Amino acid sequence: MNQEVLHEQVAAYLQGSLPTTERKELESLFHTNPEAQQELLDQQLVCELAEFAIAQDLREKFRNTPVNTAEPKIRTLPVRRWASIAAAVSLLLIAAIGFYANQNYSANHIASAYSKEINILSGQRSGTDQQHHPRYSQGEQAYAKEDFALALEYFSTVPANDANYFDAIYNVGAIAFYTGDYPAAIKAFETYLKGQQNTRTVQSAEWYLLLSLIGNDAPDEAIRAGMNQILNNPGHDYHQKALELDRKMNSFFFRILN
Amino acid sequence: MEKYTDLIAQIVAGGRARDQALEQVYKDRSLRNAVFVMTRHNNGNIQDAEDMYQESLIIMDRNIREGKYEHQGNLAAYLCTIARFCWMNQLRKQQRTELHEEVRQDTAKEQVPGPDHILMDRESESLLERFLQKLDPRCVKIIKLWQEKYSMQEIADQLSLSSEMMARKLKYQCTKKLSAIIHAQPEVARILKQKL
Repeated sequence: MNQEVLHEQVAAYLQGSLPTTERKELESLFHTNPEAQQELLDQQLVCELAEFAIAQDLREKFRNTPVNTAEPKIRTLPVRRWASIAAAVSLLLIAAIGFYANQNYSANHIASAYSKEINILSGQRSGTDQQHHPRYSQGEQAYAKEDFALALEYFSTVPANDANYFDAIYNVGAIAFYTGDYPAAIKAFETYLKGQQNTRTVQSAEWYLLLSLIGNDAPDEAIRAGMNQILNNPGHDYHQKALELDRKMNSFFFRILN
Repeated sequence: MEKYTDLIAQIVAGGRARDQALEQVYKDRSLRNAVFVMTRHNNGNIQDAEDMYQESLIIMDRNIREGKYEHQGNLAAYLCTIARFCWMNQLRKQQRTELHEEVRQDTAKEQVPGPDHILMDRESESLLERFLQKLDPRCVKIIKLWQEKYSMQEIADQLSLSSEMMARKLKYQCTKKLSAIIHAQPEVARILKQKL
């Protein structure tokens, strides 16, 4: 076989674009023909080298791609070389206060500070004799293994006619809130609140909906409405927490940062 | 998960569609959060999480292009599995701490090659980096474009060649040239063979 033809065939074989019959013929040639074997190895090594170069290009591309992350962005204050030690110390102090304030009073951090408190609802909680949907159980298992993406996948596909449907929606909200995906958490908690009657979990959903709205920089009116709903009900499970949060949101740092 | 199905199709298609899809996947907040939460919960810092996210995407891209990805639509779970392997491998290398969780013995595992296969040590990586820098950039570019499934016409356009035929000829010559250089460097050939 002509060397260039063999080269083309092996290249097509490695890209998976060779028809079955030709692929089988070529595979038997690899077993019997040292020239074909060598061509295969040569091209495989070159392909591996290309893959290494592609991976390097991707790292470079990712480095240069701006992304919005939920992580804190701390601005550093410019310090000129000629500044006196006193000025530098002052700037550092201001930066330290800014860092502290940003860590504790930014809307995103206020919401994420509560992320460790949230938990999903157990399927057993409904108290029904009915067995819950397999996707619900799979969601619980994935959640227990901290595979949140998979848990989300399962919970969000529990059918609407299932007894645990609203619990699953709550769990979608809980996981989204935990992972900082506030728009998804808002959507899930709002859906849950429209269809669920259980007082305790409704109160929990109201609280986490409020925190999600804060984390998502929702309009003040929406946040205020959510806050008042809890503050106006002294028997609400989250009344005390809401009072503390309200105080924090009225603080100097919160107003400056938000 | 419809959006991921489309993105996977774009990566499989290769060329510019793949470039755009990878950028979208890189920016995807849900995928990023899933990998970040896993890394942060296992003693990783922000930089570790970012590194794991990028390395997982690189491996995912290759697996999808090579037809090793079989999940239909559940890209997030797949990416998390890869990230978990990468992070476990990194921890093992750094001997920092035990991974809190065991690697799941599920179907996703079968579809992801082990970390020793997909990740190379720093020494081998810098050797290959130095080796790449010495090669003819035009040849490196053509084999990369080919591997990324650009068509011969697109390759000809990118390299300002007069025709598809010329691109085919140059690709042939470059493959021969590069394979001869690889064989002349036993250490490079050994590292690349390990990855086969």
